Amino acid sequence: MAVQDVGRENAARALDRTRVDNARKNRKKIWLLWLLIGPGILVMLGENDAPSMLSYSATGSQFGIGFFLPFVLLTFAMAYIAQEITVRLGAVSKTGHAELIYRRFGRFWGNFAMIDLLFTNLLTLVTEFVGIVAGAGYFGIPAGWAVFGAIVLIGVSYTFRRYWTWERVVMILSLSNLVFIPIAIMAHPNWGAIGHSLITWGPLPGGWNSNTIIIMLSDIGATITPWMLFFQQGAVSDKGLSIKDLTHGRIDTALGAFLAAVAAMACIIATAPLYIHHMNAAQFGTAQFAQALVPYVGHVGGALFALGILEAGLVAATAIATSSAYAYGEVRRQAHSLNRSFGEAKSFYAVLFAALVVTGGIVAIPHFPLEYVVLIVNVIAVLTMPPAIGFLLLLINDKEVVGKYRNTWFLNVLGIGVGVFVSLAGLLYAMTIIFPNWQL
Amino acid sequence: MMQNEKEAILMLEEARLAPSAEREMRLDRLRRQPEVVGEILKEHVASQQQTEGLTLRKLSPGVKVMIWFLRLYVVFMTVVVIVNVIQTVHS
Repeated sequence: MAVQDVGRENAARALDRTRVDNARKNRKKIWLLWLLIGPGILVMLGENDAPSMLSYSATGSQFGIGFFLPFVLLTFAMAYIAQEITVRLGAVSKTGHAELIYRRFGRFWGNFAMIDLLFTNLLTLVTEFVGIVAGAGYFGIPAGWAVFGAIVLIGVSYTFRRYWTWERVVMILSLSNLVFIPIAIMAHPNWGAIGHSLITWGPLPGGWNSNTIIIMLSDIGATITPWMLFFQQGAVSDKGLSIKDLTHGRIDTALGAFLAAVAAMACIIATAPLYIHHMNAAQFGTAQFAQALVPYVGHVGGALFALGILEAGLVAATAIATSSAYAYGEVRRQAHSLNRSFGEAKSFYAVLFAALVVTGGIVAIPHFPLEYVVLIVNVIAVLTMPPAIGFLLLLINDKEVVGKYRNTWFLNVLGIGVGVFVSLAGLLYAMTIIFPNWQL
Repeated sequence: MMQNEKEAILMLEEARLAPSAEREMRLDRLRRQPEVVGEILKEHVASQQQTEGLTLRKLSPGVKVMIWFLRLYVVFMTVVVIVNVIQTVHS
Protein backbone atom coordinates (compact mmCIF):
# COMPACT_ATOMS: atom_id res chain seq x y z
CA MET A 1 0.00 0.00 0.00
CA ALA A 2 1.46 3.32 -1.12
CA VAL A 3 -0.32 5.71 1.26
CA GLN A 4 0.26 5.50 4.98
CA ASP A 5 -3.26 6.48 5.94
CA VAL A 6 -6.09 5.87 3.52
CA GLY A 7 -8.59 7.72 5.63
CA ARG A 8 -11.05 10.42 4.80
CA GLU A 9 -8.25 12.98 4.56
CA ASN A 10 -6.39 11.18 1.78
CA ALA A 11 -9.57 10.18 -0.02
CA ALA A 12 -10.78 13.79 -0.06
CA ARG A 13 -7.38 14.98 -1.18
CA ALA A 14 -7.32 12.39 -3.95
CA LEU A 15 -10.70 13.59 -5.21
CA ASP A 16 -9.51 17.19 -5.15
CA ARG A 17 -6.31 16.28 -7.02
CA THR A 18 -8.27 14.40 -9.66
CA ARG A 19 -10.41 17.47 -10.33
CA VAL A 20 -7.27 19.58 -10.70
CA ASP A 21 -5.59 17.07 -13.00
CA ASN A 22 -8.77 16.82 -15.10
CA ALA A 23 -8.96 20.58 -15.47
CA ARG A 24 -5.29 20.73 -16.43
CA LYS A 25 -5.61 17.93 -18.99
CA ASN A 26 -8.74 19.46 -20.53
CA ARG A 27 -7.13 22.94 -20.52
CA LYS A 28 -9.97 24.46 -18.55
CA LYS A 29 -7.87 27.40 -17.38
CA ILE A 30 -10.53 29.39 -15.53
CA TRP A 31 -11.82 26.28 -13.75
CA LEU A 32 -8.25 25.29 -12.88
CA LEU A 33 -7.63 28.72 -11.39
CA TRP A 34 -10.86 28.48 -9.39
CA LEU A 35 -9.82 25.09 -8.07
CA LEU A 36 -6.37 26.21 -7.00
CA ILE A 37 -6.93 29.66 -5.52
CA GLY A 38 -7.81 29.89 -1.86
CA PRO A 39 -4.96 29.93 0.67
CA GLY A 40 -3.46 33.15 -0.68
CA ILE A 41 -6.74 35.04 -0.89
CA LEU A 42 -7.82 33.80 2.54
CA VAL A 43 -4.57 34.75 4.23
CA MET A 44 -4.34 38.20 2.71
CA LEU A 45 -7.99 39.16 3.16
CA GLY A 46 -7.92 37.46 6.56
CA GLU A 47 -5.06 39.73 7.53
CA ASN A 48 -7.35 42.69 6.82
CA ASP A 49 -8.87 41.87 10.18
CA ALA A 50 -10.81 44.12 12.56
CA PRO A 51 -7.79 45.83 14.19
CA SER A 52 -6.12 46.19 10.78
CA MET A 53 -9.12 47.93 9.26
CA LEU A 54 -9.29 50.16 12.34
CA SER A 55 -5.58 50.86 11.94
CA TYR A 56 -6.18 51.90 8.32
CA SER A 57 -9.14 54.00 9.48
CA ALA A 58 -6.90 55.74 12.03
CA THR A 59 -4.33 56.31 9.28
CA GLY A 60 -6.85 57.91 6.96
CA SER A 61 -8.34 60.06 9.70
CA GLN A 62 -4.94 61.34 10.88
CA PHE A 63 -3.05 61.67 7.61
CA GLY A 64 -5.66 61.78 4.85
CA ILE A 65 -4.75 60.89 1.29
CA GLY A 66 -0.98 60.93 0.95
CA PHE A 67 2.10 58.97 1.97
CA PHE A 68 0.29 56.03 3.50
CA LEU A 69 -1.51 54.97 0.30
CA PRO A 70 1.65 53.85 -1.51
CA PHE A 71 3.11 52.75 1.84
CA VAL A 72 0.27 50.27 2.29
CA LEU A 73 0.92 48.97 -1.24
CA LEU A 74 4.57 48.48 -0.26
CA THR A 75 3.60 46.54 2.87
CA PHE A 76 1.44 44.17 0.84
CA ALA A 77 4.28 43.71 -1.64
CA MET A 78 6.45 42.72 1.33
CA ALA A 79 3.72 40.38 2.53
CA TYR A 80 3.68 38.74 -0.90
CA ILE A 81 7.43 38.11 -0.70
CA ALA A 82 7.01 36.30 2.61
CA GLN A 83 3.83 34.44 1.72
CA GLU A 84 5.11 33.18 -1.65
CA ILE A 85 7.81 31.36 0.27
CA THR A 86 5.17 29.50 2.27
CA VAL A 87 3.51 28.40 -0.97
CA ARG A 88 6.77 26.86 -2.15
CA LEU A 89 7.49 25.28 1.21
CA GLY A 90 3.98 23.84 1.46
CA ALA A 91 3.73 22.62 -2.14
CA VAL A 92 7.16 20.96 -2.14
CA SER A 93 7.22 19.47 1.37
CA LYS A 94 3.43 18.89 1.74
CA THR A 95 4.01 19.84 5.36
CA GLY A 96 3.05 22.69 7.63
CA HIS A 97 5.40 25.41 8.84
CA ALA A 98 5.53 24.38 12.50
CA GLU A 99 6.30 20.78 11.60
CA LEU A 100 9.20 21.80 9.39
CA ILE A 101 10.65 23.97 12.19
CA TYR A 102 10.23 21.03 14.57
CA ARG A 103 11.88 18.53 12.25
CA ARG A 104 14.82 20.69 11.19
CA PHE A 105 15.52 22.74 14.30
CA GLY A 106 14.39 20.42 17.04
CA ARG A 107 11.78 20.11 19.75
CA PHE A 108 12.80 23.30 21.58
CA TRP A 109 12.39 25.62 18.58
CA GLY A 110 9.32 23.76 17.36
CA ASN A 111 7.59 24.17 20.71
CA PHE A 112 8.83 27.74 21.03
CA ALA A 113 7.36 28.62 17.62
CA MET A 114 4.08 26.93 18.50
CA ILE A 115 3.72 28.54 21.95
CA ASP A 116 4.76 31.92 20.54
CA LEU A 117 2.11 31.59 17.85
CA LEU A 118 -0.63 30.35 20.19
CA PHE A 119 0.03 33.26 22.59
CA THR A 120 -0.02 35.99 19.95
CA ASN A 121 -2.97 34.36 18.20
CA LEU A 122 -4.96 34.35 21.45
CA LEU A 123 -4.30 38.06 21.87
CA THR A 124 -5.21 38.71 18.24
CA LEU A 125 -8.40 36.66 18.53
CA VAL A 126 -9.48 38.85 21.44
CA THR A 127 -9.20 41.89 19.19
CA GLU A 128 -11.17 40.12 16.46
CA PHE A 129 -14.03 39.53 18.87
CA VAL A 130 -13.74 43.15 20.00
CA GLY A 131 -14.24 44.10 16.36
CA ILE A 132 -17.14 41.65 15.94
CA VAL A 133 -18.84 43.02 19.05
CA ALA A 134 -18.25 46.61 17.98
CA GLY A 135 -19.52 45.98 14.46
CA ALA A 136 -22.56 44.11 15.73
CA GLY A 137 -23.13 46.79 18.40
CA TYR A 138 -23.66 49.39 15.68
CA PHE A 139 -26.74 47.42 14.69
CA GLY A 140 -27.92 47.10 18.30
CA ILE A 141 -26.83 43.48 18.80
CA PRO A 142 -25.68 42.90 22.40
CA ALA A 143 -22.09 41.76 22.99
CA GLY A 144 -23.01 38.33 24.35
CA TRP A 145 -25.19 37.50 21.35
CA ALA A 146 -22.58 38.83 18.93
CA VAL A 147 -19.88 36.57 20.42
CA PHE A 148 -22.23 33.58 20.57
CA GLY A 149 -23.43 34.13 17.01
CA ALA A 150 -19.89 34.52 15.71
CA ILE A 151 -18.69 31.29 17.35
CA VAL A 152 -21.72 29.41 16.00
CA LEU A 153 -21.24 30.81 12.49
CA ILE A 154 -17.54 29.99 12.49
CA GLY A 155 -18.27 26.56 13.94
CA VAL A 156 -20.76 25.78 11.18
CA SER A 157 -18.06 26.36 8.56
CA TYR A 158 -16.07 23.47 10.05
CA THR A 159 -18.96 21.00 9.95
CA PHE A 160 -18.44 20.30 6.25
CA ARG A 161 -15.37 18.14 7.07
CA ARG A 162 -13.96 19.05 3.69
CA TYR A 163 -11.13 21.52 3.34
CA TRP A 164 -12.39 22.48 -0.12
CA THR A 165 -15.91 23.39 1.05
CA TRP A 166 -14.66 25.25 4.12
CA GLU A 167 -12.24 27.20 1.93
CA ARG A 168 -14.93 28.22 -0.58
CA VAL A 169 -17.34 29.36 2.13
CA VAL A 170 -14.75 31.43 4.00
CA MET A 171 -13.26 32.81 0.78
CA ILE A 172 -16.62 34.10 -0.39
CA LEU A 173 -17.18 35.67 3.03
CA SER A 174 -13.72 37.24 2.92
CA LEU A 175 -14.53 39.02 -0.33
CA SER A 176 -16.89 41.24 1.65
CA ASN A 177 -13.71 42.96 2.84
CA LEU A 178 -14.07 44.81 -0.46
CA VAL A 179 -17.10 46.62 1.03
CA PHE A 180 -14.67 49.44 1.85
CA ILE A 181 -14.43 50.23 -1.87
CA PRO A 182 -18.02 51.52 -2.21
CA ILE A 183 -17.58 53.39 1.08
CA ALA A 184 -14.49 55.10 -0.36
CA ILE A 185 -16.45 56.05 -3.48
CA MET A 186 -19.28 57.42 -1.33
CA ALA A 187 -16.72 59.69 0.38
CA HIS A 188 -16.24 61.50 -2.96
CA PRO A 189 -12.45 61.48 -2.75
CA ASN A 190 -10.17 63.70 -4.73
CA TRP A 191 -9.01 61.21 -7.36
CA GLY A 192 -6.27 63.55 -8.48
CA ALA A 193 -4.86 63.59 -4.95
CA ILE A 194 -4.95 59.78 -4.89
CA GLY A 195 -3.03 59.56 -8.15
CA HIS A 196 -0.57 62.20 -6.95
CA SER A 197 0.09 60.37 -3.68
CA LEU A 198 0.72 57.05 -5.44
CA ILE A 199 3.36 58.67 -7.63
CA THR A 200 5.00 61.13 -5.21
CA TRP A 201 4.45 59.34 -1.84
CA GLY A 202 3.22 62.63 -0.46
CA PRO A 203 2.06 64.58 1.34
CA LEU A 204 2.95 63.42 4.86
CA PRO A 205 1.22 65.85 7.23
CA GLY A 206 3.32 66.62 10.28
CA GLY A 207 6.43 65.05 8.72
CA TRP A 208 8.40 62.32 10.46
CA ASN A 209 7.74 62.02 14.18
CA SER A 210 6.89 59.41 16.82
CA ASN A 211 3.24 59.37 15.87
CA THR A 212 4.10 58.74 12.22
CA ILE A 213 6.34 55.83 13.20
CA ILE A 214 3.66 54.34 15.43
CA ILE A 215 1.12 54.55 12.62
CA MET A 216 3.66 53.03 10.19
CA LEU A 217 4.34 50.22 12.63
CA SER A 218 0.64 49.68 13.11
CA ASP A 219 0.14 49.48 9.34
CA ILE A 220 3.03 47.03 8.96
CA GLY A 221 1.51 44.94 11.74
CA ALA A 222 -1.78 45.14 9.87
CA THR A 223 -0.17 43.49 6.85
CA ILE A 224 2.57 41.11 7.95
CA THR A 225 2.09 38.79 10.89
CA PRO A 226 3.49 35.39 11.87
CA TRP A 227 0.14 33.58 11.84
CA MET A 228 -0.03 34.16 8.09
CA LEU A 229 3.06 32.01 7.53
CA PHE A 230 1.68 29.13 9.56
CA PHE A 231 -1.81 29.42 8.09
CA GLN A 232 -0.90 29.59 4.42
CA GLN A 233 1.62 26.79 4.52
CA GLY A 234 -0.80 24.64 6.51
CA ALA A 235 -3.63 25.45 4.11
CA VAL A 236 -1.46 24.75 1.05
CA SER A 237 -0.54 21.34 2.41
CA ASP A 238 -4.10 20.60 3.60
CA LYS A 239 -5.43 21.59 0.18
CA GLY A 240 -2.90 19.22 -1.33
CA LEU A 241 -1.22 21.62 -3.74
CA SER A 242 1.55 20.00 -5.72
CA ILE A 243 4.71 21.30 -7.33
CA LYS A 244 2.83 21.60 -10.63
CA ASP A 245 0.51 24.10 -8.95
CA LEU A 246 3.23 26.54 -7.88
CA THR A 247 2.40 29.11 -10.54
CA HIS A 248 -1.25 29.12 -9.54
CA GLY A 249 -0.24 29.31 -5.89
CA ARG A 250 1.74 32.45 -6.67
CA ILE A 251 -1.18 33.90 -8.65
CA ASP A 252 -3.47 33.13 -5.71
CA THR A 253 -1.13 34.93 -3.29
CA ALA A 254 -0.64 37.91 -5.60
CA LEU A 255 -4.39 38.19 -6.17
CA GLY A 256 -4.99 38.08 -2.43
CA ALA A 257 -2.36 40.75 -1.82
CA PHE A 258 -3.86 42.95 -4.53
CA LEU A 259 -7.43 42.64 -3.26
CA ALA A 260 -6.36 43.23 0.33
CA ALA A 261 -4.24 46.25 -0.65
CA VAL A 262 -7.16 47.75 -2.55
CA ALA A 263 -9.47 47.21 0.44
CA ALA A 264 -6.90 48.76 2.79
CA MET A 265 -6.37 51.79 0.57
CA ALA A 266 -10.13 52.14 0.19
CA CYS A 267 -10.44 52.22 3.98
CA ILE A 268 -7.84 55.00 4.23
CA ILE A 269 -9.63 56.97 1.50
CA ALA A 270 -13.01 56.40 3.15
CA THR A 271 -11.86 57.95 6.44
CA ALA A 272 -9.86 60.78 4.85
CA PRO A 273 -12.84 63.19 5.23
CA LEU A 274 -12.25 63.03 9.00
CA TYR A 275 -8.74 64.38 8.45
CA ILE A 276 -9.95 67.06 6.06
CA HIS A 277 -12.51 68.22 8.65
CA HIS A 278 -9.92 68.15 11.48
CA MET A 279 -11.72 65.54 13.50
CA ASN A 280 -9.62 64.01 16.30
CA ALA A 281 -10.20 60.32 15.62
CA ALA A 282 -7.04 58.96 17.26
CA GLN A 283 -8.96 56.98 19.89
CA PHE A 284 -11.98 56.06 17.79
CA GLY A 285 -13.38 52.57 17.77
CA THR A 286 -15.64 50.96 15.18
CA ALA A 287 -18.86 52.62 16.27
CA GLN A 288 -17.29 56.07 16.53
CA PHE A 289 -15.78 55.78 13.05
CA ALA A 290 -19.03 54.55 11.56
CA GLN A 291 -20.99 57.36 13.19
CA ALA A 292 -18.38 60.02 12.38
CA LEU A 293 -18.44 59.00 8.71
CA VAL A 294 -22.22 59.34 8.34
CA PRO A 295 -22.15 63.05 7.37
CA TYR A 296 -19.72 62.19 4.54
CA VAL A 297 -20.82 58.76 3.32
CA GLY A 298 -24.41 58.64 4.53
CA HIS A 299 -26.14 56.19 6.85
CA VAL A 300 -25.69 53.39 4.32
CA GLY A 301 -21.95 54.06 4.22
CA GLY A 302 -21.76 54.11 8.01
CA ALA A 303 -23.64 50.82 8.23
CA LEU A 304 -21.40 49.28 5.57
CA PHE A 305 -18.35 50.37 7.56
CA ALA A 306 -19.62 48.64 10.69
CA LEU A 307 -20.50 45.56 8.63
CA GLY A 308 -17.02 45.58 7.12
CA ILE A 309 -15.38 45.54 10.56
CA LEU A 310 -17.73 42.75 11.68
CA GLU A 311 -16.90 40.65 8.61
CA ALA A 312 -13.19 41.38 9.00
CA GLY A 313 -13.29 40.06 12.54
CA LEU A 314 -15.24 36.93 11.53
CA VAL A 315 -12.95 35.90 8.68
CA ALA A 316 -9.79 36.63 10.63
CA ALA A 317 -11.05 34.72 13.67
CA THR A 318 -11.63 31.71 11.43
CA ALA A 319 -8.21 31.86 9.77
CA ILE A 320 -6.26 32.64 12.95
CA ALA A 321 -7.94 29.88 14.97
CA THR A 322 -7.18 27.47 12.13
CA SER A 323 -3.51 28.52 12.05
CA SER A 324 -3.26 27.80 15.80
CA ALA A 325 -4.81 24.36 15.30
CA TYR A 326 -2.50 23.56 12.38
CA ALA A 327 0.60 24.54 14.40
CA TYR A 328 -0.52 22.54 17.43
CA GLY A 329 -1.30 19.44 15.40
CA GLU A 330 1.96 19.65 13.45
CA VAL A 331 4.19 19.99 16.51
CA ARG A 332 2.26 17.42 18.57
CA ARG A 333 2.31 15.04 15.57
CA GLN A 334 -1.45 14.59 15.62
CA ALA A 335 -4.07 14.65 12.88
CA HIS A 336 -4.55 18.19 11.64
CA SER A 337 -6.70 18.48 8.56
CA LEU A 338 -10.04 20.07 7.75
CA ASN A 339 -10.69 16.98 5.65
CA ARG A 340 -11.03 14.99 8.86
CA SER A 341 -14.10 14.69 11.02
CA PHE A 342 -14.27 15.91 14.60
CA GLY A 343 -13.76 12.35 15.82
CA GLU A 344 -10.70 11.77 13.62
CA ALA A 345 -8.90 14.99 14.65
CA LYS A 346 -10.07 15.66 18.20
CA SER A 347 -7.13 17.74 19.38
CA PHE A 348 -7.08 19.78 16.15
CA TYR A 349 -10.71 20.84 16.52
CA ALA A 350 -10.38 21.13 20.31
CA VAL A 351 -7.60 23.72 19.97
CA LEU A 352 -9.55 25.52 17.29
CA PHE A 353 -12.76 25.82 19.29
CA ALA A 354 -11.00 26.40 22.60
CA ALA A 355 -9.22 29.41 21.09
CA LEU A 356 -12.52 30.83 19.86
CA VAL A 357 -14.51 30.14 23.03
CA VAL A 358 -11.82 31.40 25.44
CA THR A 359 -11.17 34.62 23.54
CA GLY A 360 -14.84 35.23 22.86
CA GLY A 361 -15.51 34.70 26.55
CA ILE A 362 -12.80 37.17 27.54
CA VAL A 363 -14.44 39.88 25.45
CA ALA A 364 -17.73 39.22 27.18
CA ILE A 365 -16.20 39.72 30.67
CA PRO A 366 -17.35 43.09 32.04
CA HIS A 367 -14.57 45.61 32.78
CA PHE A 368 -11.86 43.40 31.27
CA PRO A 369 -9.05 45.79 30.22
CA LEU A 370 -9.50 45.18 26.53
CA GLU A 371 -7.74 48.44 25.69
CA TYR A 372 -4.47 46.88 26.92
CA VAL A 373 -4.89 43.93 24.60
CA VAL A 374 -5.83 45.99 21.58
CA LEU A 375 -2.89 48.33 22.05
CA ILE A 376 -0.44 45.47 22.59
CA VAL A 377 -1.61 43.45 19.59
CA ASN A 378 -1.39 46.44 17.29
CA VAL A 379 2.40 46.37 17.51
CA ILE A 380 3.34 42.95 18.85
CA ALA A 381 2.68 41.26 15.51
CA VAL A 382 5.39 43.24 13.75
CA LEU A 383 7.77 42.70 16.65
CA THR A 384 7.38 38.90 16.49
CA MET A 385 7.90 38.89 12.73
CA PRO A 386 11.74 39.01 12.52
CA PRO A 387 12.30 35.56 14.09
CA ALA A 388 9.45 34.17 12.01
CA ILE A 389 11.12 35.54 8.86
CA GLY A 390 14.44 34.19 10.11
CA PHE A 391 13.15 30.61 10.27
CA LEU A 392 11.28 31.08 7.00
CA LEU A 393 14.45 32.07 5.15
CA LEU A 394 16.44 29.25 6.75
CA LEU A 395 13.84 26.72 5.61
CA ILE A 396 13.46 28.02 2.05
CA ASN A 397 17.24 27.87 1.63
CA ASP A 398 17.36 24.34 3.02
CA LYS A 399 18.28 22.05 0.13
CA GLU A 400 17.09 18.94 1.96
CA VAL A 401 13.62 20.44 2.41
CA VAL A 402 12.92 22.16 -0.91
CA GLY A 403 15.63 20.89 -3.24
CA LYS A 404 15.81 22.93 -6.43
CA TYR A 405 12.92 25.18 -5.30
CA ARG A 406 15.05 27.02 -2.79
CA ASN A 407 15.52 30.78 -2.97
CA THR A 408 17.66 32.40 -5.59
CA TRP A 409 20.06 35.10 -4.43
CA PHE A 410 17.57 37.75 -5.59
CA LEU A 411 14.73 36.27 -3.55
CA ASN A 412 17.06 36.06 -0.56
CA VAL A 413 17.88 39.75 -0.96
CA LEU A 414 14.15 40.54 -1.00
CA GLY A 415 13.44 38.25 1.96
CA ILE A 416 16.27 39.65 4.05
CA GLY A 417 15.18 43.13 3.03
CA VAL A 418 11.69 42.48 4.40
CA GLY A 419 13.16 41.10 7.63
CA VAL A 420 15.52 44.03 8.08
CA PHE A 421 12.79 46.58 7.29
CA VAL A 422 10.40 45.07 9.80
CA SER A 423 13.14 44.76 12.44
CA LEU A 424 14.22 48.39 11.98
CA ALA A 425 10.63 49.54 12.30
CA GLY A 426 10.39 47.66 15.59
CA LEU A 427 13.67 49.11 16.87
CA LEU A 428 12.59 52.63 15.96
CA TYR A 429 9.39 52.05 17.90
CA ALA A 430 11.40 50.88 20.93
CA MET A 431 13.54 54.02 20.73
CA THR A 432 10.48 56.26 20.87
CA ILE A 433 9.31 54.42 24.00
CA ILE A 434 12.61 54.14 25.85
CA PHE A 435 13.66 57.67 24.95
CA PRO A 436 10.38 59.63 24.68
CA ASN A 437 12.24 62.91 24.19
CA TRP A 438 14.23 61.52 21.29
CA GLN A 439 13.41 63.23 18.01
CA LEU A 440 13.95 61.95 14.49
CA MET B 1 -4.53 6.42 -18.89
CA MET B 2 -4.05 4.03 -16.00
CA GLN B 3 -6.99 1.97 -14.88
CA ASN B 4 -6.68 3.37 -11.35
CA GLU B 5 -6.97 6.91 -12.64
CA LYS B 6 -9.97 5.98 -14.74
CA GLU B 7 -11.71 4.56 -11.74
CA ALA B 8 -10.93 7.66 -9.72
CA ILE B 9 -12.23 9.96 -12.44
CA LEU B 10 -15.40 7.93 -12.77
CA MET B 11 -15.95 8.12 -9.04
CA LEU B 12 -15.29 11.84 -9.14
CA GLU B 13 -17.87 12.42 -11.84
CA GLU B 14 -20.39 10.39 -9.93
CA ALA B 15 -19.57 12.22 -6.72
CA ARG B 16 -19.91 15.64 -8.24
CA LEU B 17 -23.37 14.96 -9.55
CA ALA B 18 -24.61 13.12 -6.50
CA PRO B 19 -26.37 14.55 -3.49
CA SER B 20 -24.14 15.03 -0.46
CA ALA B 21 -25.12 11.73 1.17
CA GLU B 22 -24.12 9.87 -1.95
CA ARG B 23 -20.91 11.89 -2.19
CA GLU B 24 -20.06 10.67 1.28
CA MET B 25 -20.66 7.11 0.15
CA ARG B 26 -18.33 7.62 -2.81
CA LEU B 27 -15.70 9.07 -0.49
CA ASP B 28 -16.07 6.06 1.80
CA ARG B 29 -15.68 3.76 -1.20
CA LEU B 30 -12.53 5.55 -2.25
CA ARG B 31 -11.16 5.20 1.27
CA ARG B 32 -11.26 1.44 0.80
CA GLN B 33 -9.19 1.63 -2.40
CA PRO B 34 -5.65 2.43 -1.28
CA GLU B 35 -4.17 1.61 -4.70
CA VAL B 36 -6.31 4.22 -6.44
CA VAL B 37 -5.58 6.83 -3.78
CA GLY B 38 -1.92 5.92 -3.77
CA GLU B 39 -1.67 6.36 -7.52
CA ILE B 40 -3.26 9.78 -7.45
CA LEU B 41 -1.25 10.97 -4.44
CA LYS B 42 2.11 9.60 -5.63
CA GLU B 43 3.82 12.95 -5.26
CA HIS B 44 2.29 13.54 -1.83
CA VAL B 45 3.44 10.14 -0.60
CA ALA B 46 6.97 10.76 -1.83
CA SER B 47 7.06 14.19 -0.17
CA GLN B 48 5.68 12.72 3.05
CA GLN B 49 8.41 10.11 3.10
CA GLN B 50 11.07 12.69 2.38
CA THR B 51 9.82 14.96 5.18
CA GLU B 52 9.73 12.10 7.65
CA GLY B 53 13.32 11.32 6.73
CA LEU B 54 14.47 14.83 7.64
CA THR B 55 16.89 15.00 10.53
CA LEU B 56 17.99 17.92 12.65
CA ARG B 57 19.81 20.50 10.64
CA LYS B 58 23.36 21.26 11.68
CA LEU B 59 23.44 24.93 12.59
CA SER B 60 26.56 26.97 12.20
CA PRO B 61 27.56 29.15 15.20
CA GLY B 62 26.48 32.21 13.26
CA VAL B 63 22.98 30.87 12.62
CA LYS B 64 22.62 29.80 16.28
CA VAL B 65 23.59 33.27 17.42
CA MET B 66 21.11 34.79 14.95
CA ILE B 67 18.23 32.58 16.12
CA TRP B 68 18.90 33.26 19.81
CA PHE B 69 19.32 36.98 19.12
CA LEU B 70 15.98 37.11 17.34
CA ARG B 71 14.23 35.26 20.16
CA LEU B 72 15.73 37.49 22.86
CA TYR B 73 14.79 40.48 20.69
CA VAL B 74 11.15 39.35 20.80
CA VAL B 75 11.16 38.93 24.59
CA PHE B 76 12.81 42.34 25.03
CA MET B 77 10.41 44.08 22.66
CA THR B 78 7.38 42.44 24.29
CA VAL B 79 8.45 43.93 27.63
CA VAL B 80 8.92 47.33 25.97
CA VAL B 81 5.44 47.17 24.45
CA ILE B 82 3.76 46.13 27.69
CA VAL B 83 5.54 48.92 29.60
CA ASN B 84 4.46 51.39 26.94
CA VAL B 85 0.87 50.27 27.03
CA ILE B 86 0.69 50.51 30.82
CA GLN B 87 2.26 54.00 30.70
CA THR B 88 -0.16 55.07 27.95
CA VAL B 89 -3.25 53.83 29.73
CA HIS B 90 -2.24 55.30 33.09
CA SER B 91 -1.47 58.66 31.54
